[in-house]
Amino acid sequence: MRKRFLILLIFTFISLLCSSTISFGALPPKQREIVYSLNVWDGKDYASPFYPANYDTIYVMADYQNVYSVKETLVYYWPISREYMADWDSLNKDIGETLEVLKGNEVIGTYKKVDYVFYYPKGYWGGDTRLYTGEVAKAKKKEYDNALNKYWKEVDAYYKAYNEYNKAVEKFYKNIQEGKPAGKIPKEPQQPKAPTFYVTDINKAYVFSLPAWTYTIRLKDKNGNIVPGTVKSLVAFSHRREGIGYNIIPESKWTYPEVADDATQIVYQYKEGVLYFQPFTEWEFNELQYNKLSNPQSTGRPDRWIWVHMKPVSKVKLNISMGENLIASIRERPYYVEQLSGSALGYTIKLLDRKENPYGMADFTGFKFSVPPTGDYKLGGVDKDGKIIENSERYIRPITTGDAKNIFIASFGALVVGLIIYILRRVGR
Amino acid sequence: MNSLAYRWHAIRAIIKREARSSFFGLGLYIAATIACFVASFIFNSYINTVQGNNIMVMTSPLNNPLFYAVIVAALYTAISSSTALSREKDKGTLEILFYGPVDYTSIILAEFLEDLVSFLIIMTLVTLYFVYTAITTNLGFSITYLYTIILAVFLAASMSSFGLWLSSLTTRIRTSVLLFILIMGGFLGIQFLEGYILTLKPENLSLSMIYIMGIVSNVLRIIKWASPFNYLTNGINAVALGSTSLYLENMIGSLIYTVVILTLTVYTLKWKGVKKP
Amino acid sequence: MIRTEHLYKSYENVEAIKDLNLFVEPGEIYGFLGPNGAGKTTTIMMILGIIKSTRGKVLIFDKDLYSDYFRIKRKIGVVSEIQYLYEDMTAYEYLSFFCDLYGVKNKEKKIEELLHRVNLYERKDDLLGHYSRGMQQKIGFVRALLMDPELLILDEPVSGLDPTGIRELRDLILEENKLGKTIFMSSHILSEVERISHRVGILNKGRLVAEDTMENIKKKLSSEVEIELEVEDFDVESQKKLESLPFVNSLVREDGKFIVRVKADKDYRNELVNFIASSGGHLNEIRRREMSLEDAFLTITEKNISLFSSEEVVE
Repeated sequence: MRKRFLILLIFTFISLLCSSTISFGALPPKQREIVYSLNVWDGKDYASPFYPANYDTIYVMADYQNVYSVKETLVYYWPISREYMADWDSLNKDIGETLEVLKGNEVIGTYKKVDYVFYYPKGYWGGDTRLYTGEVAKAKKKEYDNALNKYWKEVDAYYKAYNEYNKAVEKFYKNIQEGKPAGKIPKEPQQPKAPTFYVTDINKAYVFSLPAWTYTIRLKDKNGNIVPGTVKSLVAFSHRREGIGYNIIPESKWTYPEVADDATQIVYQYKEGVLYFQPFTEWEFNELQYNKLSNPQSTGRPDRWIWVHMKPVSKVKLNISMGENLIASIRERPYYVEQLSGSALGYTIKLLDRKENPYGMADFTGFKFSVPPTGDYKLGGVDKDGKIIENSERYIRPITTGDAKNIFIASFGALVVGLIIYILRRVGR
Repeated sequence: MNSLAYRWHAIRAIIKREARSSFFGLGLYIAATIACFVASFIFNSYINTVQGNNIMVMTSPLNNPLFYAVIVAALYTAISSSTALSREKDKGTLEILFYGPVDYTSIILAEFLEDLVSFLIIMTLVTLYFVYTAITTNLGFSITYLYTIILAVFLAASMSSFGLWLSSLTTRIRTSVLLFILIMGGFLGIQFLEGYILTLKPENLSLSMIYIMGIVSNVLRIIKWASPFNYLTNGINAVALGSTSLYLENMIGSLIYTVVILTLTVYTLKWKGVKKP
Repeated sequence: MIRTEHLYKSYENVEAIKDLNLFVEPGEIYGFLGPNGAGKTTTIMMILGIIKSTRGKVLIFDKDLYSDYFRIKRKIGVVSEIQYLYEDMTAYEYLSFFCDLYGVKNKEKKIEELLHRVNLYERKDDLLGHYSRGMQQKIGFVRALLMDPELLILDEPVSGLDPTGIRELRDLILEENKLGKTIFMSSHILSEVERISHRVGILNKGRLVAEDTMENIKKKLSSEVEIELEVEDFDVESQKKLESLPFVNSLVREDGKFIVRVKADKDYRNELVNFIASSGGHLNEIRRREMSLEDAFLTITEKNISLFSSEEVVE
């Protein structure tokens, strides 16, 4: 009896193991859903969130054009990243005819699909993305296509010219070897430059901007009926404050920069050391709203606010003062990191001198400040006209001690005072 | 002299007595020491952070340790006030006071103001410690320290008034202390619970859970108004934001809270009586 | 000085004080008596405003207490049965605090003077926690006298004191009364009350059943008088004849003496002297026995009598 039970137990265990193996290897189940797929402006660039059916609230930045698409796709839950994903490759069907926006019960906007492109003036990874719609979108696309065609033609011509060049070089060296007059060294043809800008294909979607408010959004089909599952809350939010924030790179740990976003923040340096400042314009957003803007499946606290860096501040100087005295005025410079040679671990950060090193690449640019071991310093941005940039001031203080023992001991000072008073009173009696 | 002048006279006499007792006792100094000791751990963590990372960016580094120091000082004030009336009633000395020109308002105001005086003495000692630390480490002082201290007085007022009300309800010191610890623990728990709920993702909850969470959230929002900790947290946020309107709003809220609770305490003491049980 | 008008105090279903109408005249010593649980302390607490009455009025110095609360309270000194003191203070500090509370001027001089009067000046810097019961009671008295009050309310003031202490405090009370202070004193020690009070009020089961001078109370209560006779050569027949006299209610022998109970309508001593002489007896001493306050008190409380009506109080 016991033997049979043991066999049954082992069999059950192995079955479970096999089934779990199967389940791990198996693809997660996919469900057909109507989802919102957006391209939303996040202050720096366009993000591409999608909203599965069980997400009821869409977040967009107010007063900016955003792109709305409503599609039918296959949605599945991906346990490894713990999020819902869309299988666009399997199903990516545009649905609906008209997108409506309501304020309360009143329809304040009715939108049809329009042509749109994204224009990247510095290439796909260069930032500064722009959205164009309608005829302008078509024009931009045509401009890009023309530039691309021109480039391919130039590439063609280049290859032909390069072939000729190779032949000319070969002949040149042969003449030299044979002692014949070679003439001038053949000139290598220049490689054509590819277009530095990029434009996406023309797509159709609903494109509009809204002032800050909480709206309702819904899709209607060509018969004017509301498409089920498309009614959602739409929160258009704005930033609360603007300011200047800093990325701060400490020389001793350059891969671990800090940020000083709030004007009330103080930068503490351990004793003396070098800091590199990178100023940015910044906006303050509600944490929940901003996090969900680019990823509706992320978290955030509705009672918290975060600073978001928008773009670097350029053409400024940073003034360092101690009290009322200006002690330094620093400019932005490029720097590179040089690893120490040999078996020693470590690196040094050096100024990239373009004259000495014209082909060198900077690892970062920044404003360098060597913090002395004592004192209290104020850093502030000044524009090209000498005007102080609002909200750009930060205080910098070196921490003068690394020994916390005295701080612990001093905390008993109150007790010492109390004991003295207590004893004096008893003695006095 | 009119009634107000007589009342103020009685208040002054009782404050003088109570303050002498506090000043020459050890409780005040032990509370200040605990406050400074707790703050020292936070200062130590700052130094370790700066040492380890070479850099630390922070708004008003004194505010966080000050927050905890204020909590300790305010708790001492509140525990002291939560036993003030019950101790006097238990010993019979409250009855003796009422033989004379002392009424309910004067005894409560006297205990309340004396608690504030004790709180200020503790905060003075704490401030001396903070000055020492700020100078030796170069963490530095900012004007926000003063704003936080001012706000802290209002918090202490709220805590003290609440403690006095509990003291007026009970006749035994032990009951007062237990009730105080229970309720204060509850308030702190409410703050943490609310913080936890805010981190939950509604998308991952079932409908019924969302509904329950909604109710709990609203109930907590109401109960929070009874918690004196709420005023300190919001006030410190206001200081960090640099928002004068929010700061004043909290101060006024705290003041209203204090006045309401003190008034309630007067009526409770009248109802319960002052005779030794 | 103190007047209560139809004063009532009820606790749930129990009426602790019923229709109390007492009156304390300025300058007198008023003894407030009653068995345990009669409501004496409750009455004092209502007079002082520490307990709120259910119905009725309390007037002190002809004013409602709450019409001029602080001024009236400053004129009252109170000594309770048990002194609840701040034991972490010295006697001097304690009295100094109460001087501050009552707004007493020249407090150092006042405290010194009063501590000398109660023979506690040498112990002024000792902690009150180290004081004996009697010393604490004296401190209570001193505290009550600091502000030179017009009215002294004493609740069992000599409780816990030895005979010397009792005498000292009795003298103190009489001295203060001579200075014009009105004294309202509740006490169990009837002999002391009898000794010093001008009038007494007797509280029984929450009702004031008597309020008058002791003489009048005794008169109202007594229907007979006891006369003590020390007689020699008084034979049994003569005793029987004496007992059968119309004005004699009873004759008993007690400790070698004859106790004759006669009607209280007149003084029958002369008639007794004549009878004994005519019987051949030798009278050594004749003494009229006065009814004590204790007797009166016990009569009232045990028989549940109210002297405001001739009938027994119906509960």
